[in-house]
Amino acid sequence: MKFVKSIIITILLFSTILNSKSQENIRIKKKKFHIEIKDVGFKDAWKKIKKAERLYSRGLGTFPEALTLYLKAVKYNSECATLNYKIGVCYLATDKFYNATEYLERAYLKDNNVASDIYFVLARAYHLNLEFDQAIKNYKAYYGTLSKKQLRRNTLDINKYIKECRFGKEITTTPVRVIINNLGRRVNSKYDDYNPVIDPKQNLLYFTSRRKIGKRDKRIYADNKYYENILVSEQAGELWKKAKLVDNKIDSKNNESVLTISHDGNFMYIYNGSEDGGNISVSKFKKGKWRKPKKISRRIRSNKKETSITFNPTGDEMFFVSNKKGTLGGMDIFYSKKNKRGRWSKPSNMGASINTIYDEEGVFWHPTENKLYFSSEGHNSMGGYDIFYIERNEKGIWSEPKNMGYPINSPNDDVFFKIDKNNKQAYYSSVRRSGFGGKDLYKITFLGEEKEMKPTTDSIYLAWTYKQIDNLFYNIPNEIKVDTSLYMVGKITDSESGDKIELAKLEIIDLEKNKIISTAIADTLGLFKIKIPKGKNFGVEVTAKSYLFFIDSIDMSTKQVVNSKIEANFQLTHIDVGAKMILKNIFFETNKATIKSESEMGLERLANLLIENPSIRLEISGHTDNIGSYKANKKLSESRAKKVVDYIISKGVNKNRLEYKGYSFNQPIANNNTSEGRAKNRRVEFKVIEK
Amino acid sequence: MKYLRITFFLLLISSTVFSQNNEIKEELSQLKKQAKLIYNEGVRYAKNGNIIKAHEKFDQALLYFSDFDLPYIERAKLFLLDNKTDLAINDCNQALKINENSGEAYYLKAYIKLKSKDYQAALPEFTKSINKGFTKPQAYYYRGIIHFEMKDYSNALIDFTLAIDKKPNFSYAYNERATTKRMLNDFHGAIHDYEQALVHDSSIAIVYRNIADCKIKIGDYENALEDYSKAIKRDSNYYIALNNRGIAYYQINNFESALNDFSEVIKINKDYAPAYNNLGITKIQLQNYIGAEKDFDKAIKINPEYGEAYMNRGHARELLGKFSSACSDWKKAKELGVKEAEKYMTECE
Repeated sequence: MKFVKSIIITILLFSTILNSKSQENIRIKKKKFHIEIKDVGFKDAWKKIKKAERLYSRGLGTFPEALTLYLKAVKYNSECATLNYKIGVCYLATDKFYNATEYLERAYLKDNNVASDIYFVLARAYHLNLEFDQAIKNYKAYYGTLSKKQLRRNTLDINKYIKECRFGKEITTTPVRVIINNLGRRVNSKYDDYNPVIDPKQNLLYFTSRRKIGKRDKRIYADNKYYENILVSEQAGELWKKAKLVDNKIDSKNNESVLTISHDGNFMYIYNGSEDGGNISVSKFKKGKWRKPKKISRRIRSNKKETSITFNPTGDEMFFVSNKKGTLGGMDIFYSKKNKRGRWSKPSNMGASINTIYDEEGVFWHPTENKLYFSSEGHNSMGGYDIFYIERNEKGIWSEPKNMGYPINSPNDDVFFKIDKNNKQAYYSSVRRSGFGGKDLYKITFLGEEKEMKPTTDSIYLAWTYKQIDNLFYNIPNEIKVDTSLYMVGKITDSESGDKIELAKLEIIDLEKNKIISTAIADTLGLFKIKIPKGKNFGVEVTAKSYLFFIDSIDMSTKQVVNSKIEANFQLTHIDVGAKMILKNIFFETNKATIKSESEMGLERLANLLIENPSIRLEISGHTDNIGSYKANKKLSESRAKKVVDYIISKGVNKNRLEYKGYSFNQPIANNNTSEGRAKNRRVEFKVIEK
Repeated sequence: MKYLRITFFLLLISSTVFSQNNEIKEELSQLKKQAKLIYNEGVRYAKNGNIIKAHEKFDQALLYFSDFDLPYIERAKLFLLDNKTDLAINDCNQALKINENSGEAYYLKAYIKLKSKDYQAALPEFTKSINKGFTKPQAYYYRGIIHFEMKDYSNALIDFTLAIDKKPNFSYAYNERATTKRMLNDFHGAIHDYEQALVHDSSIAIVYRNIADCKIKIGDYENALEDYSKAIKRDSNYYIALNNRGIAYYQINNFESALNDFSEVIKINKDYAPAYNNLGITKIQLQNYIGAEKDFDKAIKINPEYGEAYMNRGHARELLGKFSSACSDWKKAKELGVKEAEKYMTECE
């Protein structure tokens, strides 16, 4: 069965290496291994080399032990081309094949003639590591090193490898959605473990192992590996319990392997290596036990090997693998059907569209579907055995074999595929990076279609929700305009009658700037309210029709402010002959008749009075205090009165409407004994002399 | 004579009453004037950022003259800054009692409703505030936000544009208009507006993030990463930008960097469920299915209604071969409204 098969396969695979080795007898030479200037450690390292070389020459079965020793020796001398080559070759024969490239490349770099098949083993290493372009390049290079004889023998194989690489390049770009998990240390061992068979009734996993079991520690000559034995493991949830050797009724001292259990769980088909070069027997499950296996139908048996068998769900169709008469090459799949009387028909080859000149192996009929799975080294394999399936349509016509795809298949051997009825899980044996050694059992989890992952972006898009702009709502307030100015309120009346004067005009004058700053008109009751400047004295001028104007300055220190107001009443003199008025806002330079500029507004007002009342004539009179002589004061007072008259005339008033006189200190209005009195006496007046 | 006396007496009384009324009026006028002056002081404090003093002054102004709407409005704003919304609403109502045409009082009330996400109630209040003459850009801006939140993107676009017309350097309005354009799938127009927002204020981290989001939409991942980095540079605690940068890394299959970003997000905000979800999907890509499942567990623990996390956990569980629990998760995701989950349900039959 498979063990025989697998031995054949591995021998074929490594035969080229072994041949080349034997051709050149490439043993590690002491001279090349020894480093002249480094004696420390050499003795021990060389001892390991010698032991490793013996293990290496025994065959594949002891390659792992040889490798361990080589790896210890290489610490002494990592530059030895032959040693690196051998480590690479050993790695290639294990499930640590991915380490081979490093050592083989180093061997090639140190000596590109280290072995005649160096290109081939490099190509194999690249091939197994999915570096297909490099593999093709080295396969071609190897091709160029072969003699005519060797070419005849090897061309087909080399071309096949190149074809596998090309297909591998294609198939690895579209991996199928599966997860492949090693069944774990409780099931797998550092030896080959393969051919998983699930007992549907008992949730048991049967499989074949070439591990060392107790006293059964003999190795088979062909590959120097231990015998095949059947082990069983019980399912515990997601895990499998520690595998045990099965009952000796179904496992003898010879090579045995469970091939399949019927869909109803009542029959177990077992390969027995000792029968006619490898044959199938069947055990019945009765009273909770598997009974001693009996030979399968004579129709199926041959003097060749029958290594794999499967039945359809109804149990009336059988497919098995054999190299019996009628094979197209190596192991082929044969078919037999049970007739109405329960007899199997003569097996027939499945034909050239399914079988190839290379080996087919590991048939398995789907539990519910019209689908047959098998492994083949032919068809479009990416290397070693790949798993394929064929479907039979309603007319009984088989489809073309379809590769199960990468990563189920690999450039290594992928065989004994068993799938569950839901197409969710399958078991098979393969050589993968995650292995414990040799072939291991793996579970394949089939995923559905590609799942869309949903990353979550934050759905808050607006800036206003962002913490820094929480106060964006805040509108900066404006101050309110509040009238904080002072007002002057009061009443304007006739100086003689005391009657109200309507619509009299008031003007407040900034004395510093000599500028009108506010104006108001008295109401019909003669009442007024006018804004006045805060904190300083100011001038006030009141005018009304038919009245003499009134000009004065207000001294704020004499006023009481109540509710932002001061009170002041004004009396105006009606324009009548004899009416007179002191011009309070006219100022002269001391002891001179020169009018100061700040007098201009008062003079303007006087000129306006004459312009607005064209019938009146005025006398302008000057007055002094009693300081100085009468004559001097007479002259000064007269000059000042004249200056006023001159100014008014300059404003366009007819000179005939004006007279002027200087009264010296003869007409005092206050006591000359005080400075205040004298100040009052120094004045210019006007009097209406004609209306 | 008797009548004359009565008349005289009545005249005397009426003149006394008139005189008293005038005095009261005068006194009130003075109090109001004083209140206004104190209010102005409060305004000056507020402008200088002295909130406590401003608050004191507005209180004082109202003590002088309570029939005065403006101190209520300004005090309401200060309450709002202090998150005392009830007091703020109370002040707005007082202001409206005094002056029913106070647009700003309506505006503030509307804003409070907007903050509490009561968009239906806030919308008419903003409209009322604008109709009452409160046509500040913010009023249009916030109304635009409400339109946006109510998915009325056309009117949102109009309001943000009006806000920009009123205040041409209104960077936030540019940002929001850009976001509105983005919702209308005008990604190039959105990027233009975001860039305008940056012209007026380059410090707003969210704008860089938004530009980056748009660039992701148009497939410009490289530049998007740069913009996310700018956003993070401006605010190292800006975990949303970090999260989205992680997604950008994820989209360009740089799973290690994505993993780093999502892990950083969790350091900043351990309760941010999307980061766990995103961490989970990244771990799936890195084939750490067990770790991914744990991350989705955390996301779901934080937010038990997180449909996407259920769906993604389903994927992780499927990859772990836990088909029945994967199906339960997809079912839950479907119940929570994740449409994509539905198609996976067929695998569960």
